[in-house]
Amino acid sequence: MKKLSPYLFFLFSTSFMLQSCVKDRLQTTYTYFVPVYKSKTAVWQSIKSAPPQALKTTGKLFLYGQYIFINEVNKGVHIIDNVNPLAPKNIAFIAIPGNLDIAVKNNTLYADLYTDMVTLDIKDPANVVLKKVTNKVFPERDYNNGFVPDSLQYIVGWEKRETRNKNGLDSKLVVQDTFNNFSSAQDSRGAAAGVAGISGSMARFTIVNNYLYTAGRSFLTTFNITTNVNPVKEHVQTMGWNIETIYPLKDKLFIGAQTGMFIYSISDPASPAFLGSFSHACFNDPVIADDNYAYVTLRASTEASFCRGAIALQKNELDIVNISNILQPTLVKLYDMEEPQGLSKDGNLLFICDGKGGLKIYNAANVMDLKELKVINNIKPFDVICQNGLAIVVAEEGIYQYDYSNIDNIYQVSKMTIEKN
Amino acid sequence: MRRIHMLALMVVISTGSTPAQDRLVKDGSGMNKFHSFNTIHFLNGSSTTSLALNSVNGIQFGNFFCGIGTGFDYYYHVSLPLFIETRMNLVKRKGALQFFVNGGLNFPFATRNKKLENRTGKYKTGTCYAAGLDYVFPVKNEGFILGLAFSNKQTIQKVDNNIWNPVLNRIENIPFEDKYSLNRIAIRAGWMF
Repeated sequence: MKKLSPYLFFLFSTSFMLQSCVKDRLQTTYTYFVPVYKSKTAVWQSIKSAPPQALKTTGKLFLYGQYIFINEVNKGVHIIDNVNPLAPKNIAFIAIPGNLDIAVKNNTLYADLYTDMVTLDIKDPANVVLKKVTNKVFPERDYNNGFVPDSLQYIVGWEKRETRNKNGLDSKLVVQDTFNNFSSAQDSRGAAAGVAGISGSMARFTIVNNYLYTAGRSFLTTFNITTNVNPVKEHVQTMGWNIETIYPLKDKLFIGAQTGMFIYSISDPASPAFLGSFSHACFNDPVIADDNYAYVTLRASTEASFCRGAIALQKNELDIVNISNILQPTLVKLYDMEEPQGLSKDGNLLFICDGKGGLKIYNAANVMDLKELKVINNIKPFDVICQNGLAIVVAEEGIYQYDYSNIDNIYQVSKMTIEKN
Repeated sequence: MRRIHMLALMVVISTGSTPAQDRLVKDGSGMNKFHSFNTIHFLNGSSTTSLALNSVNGIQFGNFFCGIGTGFDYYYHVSLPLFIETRMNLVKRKGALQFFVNGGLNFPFATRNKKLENRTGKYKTGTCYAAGLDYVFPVKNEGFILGLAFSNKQTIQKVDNNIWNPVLNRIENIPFEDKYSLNRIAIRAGWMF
């Protein structure tokens, strides 16, 4: 051992001297998205009917006459000719970047284009014409990932890129969630409402008589559309935060927010007035109503976890709220659900899109005791519109149509496939 | 299961040479001899200090040696190296001063990142290499090894990363890749036979 001592001393001292020369490295390669910009003028010029495109990331649904309008999230609107529900035909696509919401009245389509709103003449769906652009209607609308173009450009697409960071290991580089931005775009599934057309429960646009109402994240904006192609902004009402849906019933608007349901009177249609509200914990909650009850679905999800906290503490349920005293809505009954989203009611039939739980159809003659009539559980639906015995359902797998004219024999009429990304 | 297969393979590699050893030793030619270098490494790097165990088994051709090695490396992420090593006698008097170099693959053994716990995700195989000097003190027909080396091992982790994908308009797991390049000074001690 004595013989080895000088060697060991040499080795250890050399090792510690050399140790300062070596450094552990961490190289992180990550993916990010950069926006593709286009001038506003060029975008406006490109807003016209184009050949049909495959349905990929579908959003809101709107029925108008023989047509189904389906939003392709942040990209535009598909026009589907549904004159024969057995074989619906995808006939055209209108490219509208940043589009999430639509509403139609008198052959005029209103659609958001990021913060702006476009008005289109759709008399001939194969040849739509841009009539007006109203600027800064939705000032709260985010661009994805926090990008904000200047006043002369829109974001029309995204490019995927990779980059590398080299760091010393001690710096413990954290890039996780750097680009995680829960923009308003994720609230995009649903349908728009209107007098001329039929909407689902997840719309942010609705038309009542000569007024278009749009729900921003915290504002209710009223447009006079007496002249269809020239909407005029008449009133802006501040509401709660994280407004998600708007549903019209007679002279009232039911506003679904993550914190509750708000009811506004539109007796004076140019200036909606607050009537009452029903509060609940923070959830995603589309709402529909009939004369006596409002039906609110509460869905637990990560999408708005800022306000709701842990998913485990959230609930999936259908709340039935008595609105006979509109100033004081009261919860009368709740039903457990799996993943409820859009819902629709036709007479006593209540359709609920319960996500992985399927499409559930209830007899709602007695709201205190809903009777389940049928569950279609081979689909994952998120919005539904019922009209004249035909339920049009937007699901993850496609757009389905079901004939429910005979409630003992509800059957699938057709399916348009949505391409998987 | 993959780790068990890896271990089994390494055991086979490190023990499979024994009959060859007998054969060559009995051969007595003195030219092509089986040797086994079994060492423990005291690893000193900028992140931590740790240990590694190596067993290199191969054949001596005159002043040159070539063999296959494997072991355990506990530095930062536990891993199993599998490499080829060559060494050369620089000076041979009572003992032998040998220069060696090796290179190969570094298989991850740990399944989670204990140092950066928020980084979850699968590990991928990286590379490893080392170079250094050993002095072999003769002890009868065998030898005690003392040496110094520089060694590098790479570990790659595909880290889960849920981000908003504006193209698909949904939150998606697009993992980012952490490539660790771990540089160490190793004091080596062991036994050669």
